[in-house]
Amino acid sequence: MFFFSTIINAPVQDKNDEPVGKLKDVAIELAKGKKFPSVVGLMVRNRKEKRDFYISAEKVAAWSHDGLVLNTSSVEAENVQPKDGILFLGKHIVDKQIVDLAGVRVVRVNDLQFGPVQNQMCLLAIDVSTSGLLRRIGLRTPADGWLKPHLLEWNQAHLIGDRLQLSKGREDLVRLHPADIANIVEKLNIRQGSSLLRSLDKSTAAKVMEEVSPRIQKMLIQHLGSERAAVILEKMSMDELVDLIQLLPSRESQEIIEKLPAQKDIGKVKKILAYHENEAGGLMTTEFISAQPHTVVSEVVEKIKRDSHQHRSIHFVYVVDEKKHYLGVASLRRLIIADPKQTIKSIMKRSRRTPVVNAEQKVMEIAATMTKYNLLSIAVLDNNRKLLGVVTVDDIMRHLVPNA
Amino acid sequence: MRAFAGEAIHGTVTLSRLLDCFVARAPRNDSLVAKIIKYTKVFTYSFTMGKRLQHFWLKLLFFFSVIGPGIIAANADNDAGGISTYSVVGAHFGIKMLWVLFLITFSLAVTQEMGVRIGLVTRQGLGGVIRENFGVRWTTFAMFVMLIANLGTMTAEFAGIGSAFSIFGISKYIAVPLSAIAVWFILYRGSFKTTQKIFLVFSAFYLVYIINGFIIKPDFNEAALALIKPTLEFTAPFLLTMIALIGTTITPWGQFFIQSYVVDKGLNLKHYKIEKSEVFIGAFITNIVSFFIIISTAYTLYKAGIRITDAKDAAMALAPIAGEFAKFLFGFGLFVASMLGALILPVATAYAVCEAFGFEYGFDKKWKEARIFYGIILLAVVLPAILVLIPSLPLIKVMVLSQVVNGILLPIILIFVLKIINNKNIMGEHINKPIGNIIAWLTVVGIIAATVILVVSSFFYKF
Repeated sequence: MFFFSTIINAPVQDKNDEPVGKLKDVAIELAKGKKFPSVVGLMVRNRKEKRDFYISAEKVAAWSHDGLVLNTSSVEAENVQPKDGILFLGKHIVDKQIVDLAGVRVVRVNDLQFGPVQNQMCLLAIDVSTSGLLRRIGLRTPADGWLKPHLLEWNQAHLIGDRLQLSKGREDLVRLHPADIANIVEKLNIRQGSSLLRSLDKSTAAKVMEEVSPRIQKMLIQHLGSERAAVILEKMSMDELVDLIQLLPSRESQEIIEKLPAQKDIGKVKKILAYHENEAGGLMTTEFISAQPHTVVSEVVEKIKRDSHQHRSIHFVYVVDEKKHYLGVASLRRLIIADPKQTIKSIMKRSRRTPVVNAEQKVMEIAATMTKYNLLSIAVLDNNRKLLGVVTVDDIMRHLVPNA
Repeated sequence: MRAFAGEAIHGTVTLSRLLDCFVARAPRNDSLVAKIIKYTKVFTYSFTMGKRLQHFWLKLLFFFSVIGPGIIAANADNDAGGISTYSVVGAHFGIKMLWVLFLITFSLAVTQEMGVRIGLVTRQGLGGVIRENFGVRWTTFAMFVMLIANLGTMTAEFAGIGSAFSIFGISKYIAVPLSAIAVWFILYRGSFKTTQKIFLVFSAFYLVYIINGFIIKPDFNEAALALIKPTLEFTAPFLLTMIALIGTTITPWGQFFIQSYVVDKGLNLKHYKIEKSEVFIGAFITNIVSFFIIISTAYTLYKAGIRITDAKDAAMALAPIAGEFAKFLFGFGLFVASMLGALILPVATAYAVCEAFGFEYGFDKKWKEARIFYGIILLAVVLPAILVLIPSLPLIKVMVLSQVVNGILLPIILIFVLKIINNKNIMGEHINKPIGNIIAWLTVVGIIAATVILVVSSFFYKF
């Protein structure tokens, strides 16, 4: 095993020990299903003739720190041009930023480690540690000292390409929690961040977008443009979407609202926009499960199963009459315990016994009420006791701890 | 959030539990104190959120958000090192160096514009761009150069704080450590951005110099002539001060700062024209201020033959406008300028180093995660503060000499910038135009030549 920094600039000799040039770069091929990408070629510079040429990896007989030996003597005849779909390590990877998927952070590639796997030279790991830095400068660190190399396996890293779009690593990235991906997006520059966002599937991108801090959200939307932003935004939950639209200048927010697909209820967005973000009306979401009083429990459960994918979380079913007047609330727990044939009216907590807030109430008042009655969410009513929306405890927490 | 294999679950914290903790901390309604707090809250809330006033605050906020990088960087240029260097330039050499100031106004505008352009195209700080294009060795070299220059400037800031307080009769042994702690505390716990804005507002103090420049009724014809007529003395003090003058106007850290500012704000290439004019205006404004500081000292101290040995001497230049009060005005201005620099520099240094080497950074990180980031900030605050505490250190000389160090190191950073901005692979169609290259290279060559002559002449000159 050896490092990129130790073989770069190493002399390359042909089979008759005649010098061919110096090693300038190493090319690898990204292949699906392979744990370690294999080396497919070398870029060698001939000092005398002042030109670079490509040698495919099969022509290398021996690798060592002191230099490379080829198994041929006719390099000139095989001046093959590099194929598409291969990466040059020195040009594309070394010194660039990558996402360390295990540590959920953005780091720089300090060095690369190679080794033979099944008789083929492969890229084994990425060194992101200080000892890798020192090795690049030419300082040797004691192998068992306190500066141990920190090696990332190739498949634990997500390459961030500014220009080259890499499909590799995307699936691994999706495995992270959206909040963690959001932290990574915040760490990247705006172009890298938005290209990372666009590489995700729409619903993951929307979840990530919800977790990104407002300042960066705004920058991302502006960088993506209203067209592409709307595609991501349509998957966001209603209250988060409204919060985001509030951040934007009016012209841009108009553009986005126009581009949103029809099934996103624009009327609702505008209604929430009328309230201040510190008020119940501004905090609430308009996405909740509601039922008429005479529906039976089994029907409600069916409805939850059917609509579940539309909602971020479901804890309660809100009971309203045909004019949307608030009657009461039933928790999932009550629904599970109840006999499927019972009407929801018979199992709900009646509105007289459940605290509610009106749309103008301030966040601390809502927090106080929710704390007093130990509620996970609370109904928001207008002056005619019509149900407008629901404030959930995570909306309140977001408000109290804005920078988490 | 993530549970790993092998970790046992001890219990769960639900959101509503957390909320309980938050609300429990809110004041109860029964005590008098709580009532006062409540009503003050209601009052301030209606004050800030009332419709008409909300408008006012929004406007104010907008005003601060358009103060862009160019003007901030330019303003922060007139820090402790700046004020003292310009004062010394005027007091010791009169208006002889005004032509240098005139020329470097263009250099400042051009180099800052190059920083903006690299930032807009690469979306990375200067440290990151150097790393990706020059490799680890050159990056280490560039970072080392920047670190030395910035530690020097930080020393100047603390020397500025020390001499500002000496005017008020407070010993530097008290003022400097307390300020160092304050700087660290503001950076670590407080809102760096708000504080920065407060000091920026205070730095309107420079207007005093402009008004003062008119009150003393200088010979503007003579001064205007000095702007375009080069005078050069081949003596060590002259060359030393000249390098300081260049090094305090165009700084290595300013080059890093403007670029990361552009990147951090997420500006686009479509903002380029606005940013360009802003940078040019910034360069012009900052050097107008410098011009008036030099004029103020030239037509008071230089005429009277007073040499600046401590801050009180430099303050005398403001006597025409402030009379007896001049000392305090100067002391306040010097303090504010020093603090502004002291707040920006450690963070700018730490960001650049961490970006270049891929260390974790940001105040949202814990100590354990971002040891190097916090370590550099701490180093940049503590080491210069300790240096300034050396007994009987001539603080004014320290401030000027730190700018000499900046000036001598500047060409190295500028050469990196020039190499980057002329590289088609990096900049694409946005590479430099010949005029920008000529001005920037002349600056580099000028400083190097001055440095060489300084070294040679110092063999023949006895200090």
